[in-house]
Amino acid sequence: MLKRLTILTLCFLMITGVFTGCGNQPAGTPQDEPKEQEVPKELAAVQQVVAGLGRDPGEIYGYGAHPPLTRVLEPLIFQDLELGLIPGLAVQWNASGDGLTWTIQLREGVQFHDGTPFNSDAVIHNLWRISEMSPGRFGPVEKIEALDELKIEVTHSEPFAPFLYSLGWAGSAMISPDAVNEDGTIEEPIGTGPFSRESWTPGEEMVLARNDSYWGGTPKLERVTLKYIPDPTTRMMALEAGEIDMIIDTGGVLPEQVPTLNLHPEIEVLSIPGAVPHYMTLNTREWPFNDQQVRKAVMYAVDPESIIQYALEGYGKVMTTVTPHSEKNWMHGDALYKYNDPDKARELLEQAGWMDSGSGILQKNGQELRVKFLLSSALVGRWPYGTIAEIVQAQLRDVGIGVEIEVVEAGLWRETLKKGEANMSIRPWAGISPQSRLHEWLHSKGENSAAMGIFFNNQQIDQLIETLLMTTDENAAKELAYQIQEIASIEVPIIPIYDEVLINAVRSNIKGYKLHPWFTMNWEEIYVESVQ
Amino acid sequence: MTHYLLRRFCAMFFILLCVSIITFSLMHFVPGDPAEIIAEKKFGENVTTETVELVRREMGLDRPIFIQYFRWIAGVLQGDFGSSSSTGRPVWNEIMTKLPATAELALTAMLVSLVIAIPVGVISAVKQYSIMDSVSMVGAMLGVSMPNFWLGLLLILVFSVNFGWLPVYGRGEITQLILPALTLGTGIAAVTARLTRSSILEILKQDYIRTARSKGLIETAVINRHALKNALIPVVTVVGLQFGALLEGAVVVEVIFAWPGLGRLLFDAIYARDFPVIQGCVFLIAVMYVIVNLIIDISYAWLDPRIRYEVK
Repeated sequence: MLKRLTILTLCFLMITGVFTGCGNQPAGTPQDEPKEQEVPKELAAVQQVVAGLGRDPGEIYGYGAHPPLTRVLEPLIFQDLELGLIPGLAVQWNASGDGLTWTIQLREGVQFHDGTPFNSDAVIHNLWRISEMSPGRFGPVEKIEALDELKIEVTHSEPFAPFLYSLGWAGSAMISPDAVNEDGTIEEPIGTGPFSRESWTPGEEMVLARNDSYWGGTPKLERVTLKYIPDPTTRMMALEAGEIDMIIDTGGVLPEQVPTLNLHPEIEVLSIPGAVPHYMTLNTREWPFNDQQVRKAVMYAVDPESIIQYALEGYGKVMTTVTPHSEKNWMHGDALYKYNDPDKARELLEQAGWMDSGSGILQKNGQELRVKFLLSSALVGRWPYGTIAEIVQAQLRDVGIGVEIEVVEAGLWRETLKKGEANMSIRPWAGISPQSRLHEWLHSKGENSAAMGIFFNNQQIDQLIETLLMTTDENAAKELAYQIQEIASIEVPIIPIYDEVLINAVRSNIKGYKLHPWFTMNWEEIYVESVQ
Repeated sequence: MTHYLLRRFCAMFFILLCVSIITFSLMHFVPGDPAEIIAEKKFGENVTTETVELVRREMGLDRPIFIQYFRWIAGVLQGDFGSSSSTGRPVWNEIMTKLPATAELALTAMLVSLVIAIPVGVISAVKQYSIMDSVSMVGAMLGVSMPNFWLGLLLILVFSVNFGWLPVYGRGEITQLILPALTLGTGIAAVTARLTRSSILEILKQDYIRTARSKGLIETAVINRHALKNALIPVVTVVGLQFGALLEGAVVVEVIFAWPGLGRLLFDAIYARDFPVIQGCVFLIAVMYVIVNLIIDISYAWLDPRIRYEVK
């Protein structure tokens, strides 16, 4: 009986092995082998694409169409591939000498999808709508006035330097005033973008139709279908099977899927440094990270390079300061955060009075140096935080710090961190502007300071950040930002680990797609080549 | 029978009341601030404290919990389950647009499982200890042991990516139903097959089977007319209970195959902490579960005329 069972089981395993190994997938095109030389081909008769992504593009931001992913709605100011501010629906902007008044010139000849003219009234309506929904988004706004049909003036009670970035943020997209209900909710996402929303089936798909009168020229694609496919493996297999033409969005393609996709001759993998940095946070209020020496020791003990290599398959970039590479003009020129120096870490811990007890974990006054690394299950599902935490655990263990990793449900994670009941954690954070990012992480009243249980309180940094938010002169602001970054690397309330690399994949007949750090789609430039 | 049904309906009412209280309480006692989550959903991650407070007032989340419950249950009784915090659409509409997809998948999977399980169970029992018996029981063992997500991905890899015979994901065409129904159906087929086998083996030892055989009935008639119907009573009970497993399995299968059903709605709602949708889905699943079990209980009388629900 046992023999028969063994034979049957082996048969089954062989059959499944044969099935998964055979078929029309090419066997083993080496990753580094150059793909077929690109020869210009004809445009396909039908200019339509189907793109798969891991979230519903109708959710988030409350617009009913994610502005960067769908391009149904556009903000006043765009960000180029280097994240520099460039004209969008606004063509020009100037600040008064005292930095209190902003004059914004709007683009001429733009219409919303419903035919409503895009003008000063529409913009003022939108700015007040967003300010009411999200107080403080545009700073301390005193008044907004129309100077003429296409020129507005925004007056602040005190200077607010990140104002332009706030205007360029995805959540500040312009919508036709007629599409907004009295209570501020949005009926239909009627914007000015190259595509309009034709239909949306929540949890399934969104169909976008070409806006023939787009101010930036008529897009080549007639229709775009965005398919919400939550499982990353299914998304990959749908692309391999040719059921979808593209995988877009942050987290669209996982690093571990790249080798498989590279084997496919008709699929091209695209990647660029994204605008989403990942930070490790330390609870500076509670023992043992209330001691700056211990925090610095953690910084020296951690090696982000190995994290990127082992947890992210090389798809990441080591951060050297709290400001990410996507804001490189605001990044301090020196590598402020020093990593991968376990000897220095041990030395700092020894100076702080931590002694080896023989167990490998350091001790001080009879108390072992053990900390809790708390992870959110929701984030672990999207980024390899579990593996990252294990690598950090091994690296800290090497210098005598014991780390207990705990993965908890997202709500519990937030609550525990807020109460200060965990010692460390990790999360991604794509801030609105270089200035507001520093405020959110490092100011004692910053959103993340309390929410992530950092509780960092440094009067000097607080003052510098407050000044930074009011400094409209860019050079002076950058100097302040550099100073703040220097203090942060000395005090180490957070440890910037890596800048995410955005990975997408397309079928080789899809042309013109340029990856944007903010995963903003250039749908108006994408086209389909005929497949021979 | 009328008495029995009335009693069962009263019990159903209390069960559903308890389910509603427990679901509502659980949602509100789990850590995390719903107002903050809704605000983040609406305005992105960078929400201010003022925005969170604004959302809290707007959603009535600043009211005492029992008032929130009574408002919710009063709405439910009028068919209003509130609005989804993710999409802003009424929960009832959200559920009703997804329910047909799940019903289609669950019923097809159930059919697949019965079509596989009953013949396999019967053959295994009749040909006990034969090669056929061993093969089907190993198959059943594998079916039980294989997780849905693994089987689903394996089927996609073989039949969609390698052979290109069936679509990878989605709903709309009949071909899109095959792989998810197979994935979901095979797991429960395994349990049903094993149960059918043991149940038939038990029945085959009964005196009336010996009588049937001694009357000179051919074996097929003995199995089909006398053994199978009696053997089905425990099977039907388990199939009823499996309905819960089917809905549970549907969550995983719907995510893998991007099947736009109730399971995925619930999965997304849990992930997004969309409390109104979670409450609505759990409540509705409880209603379906209770009704299916009532139908199962009533079907006993048809399968076994000796079973009566009232003493005359």
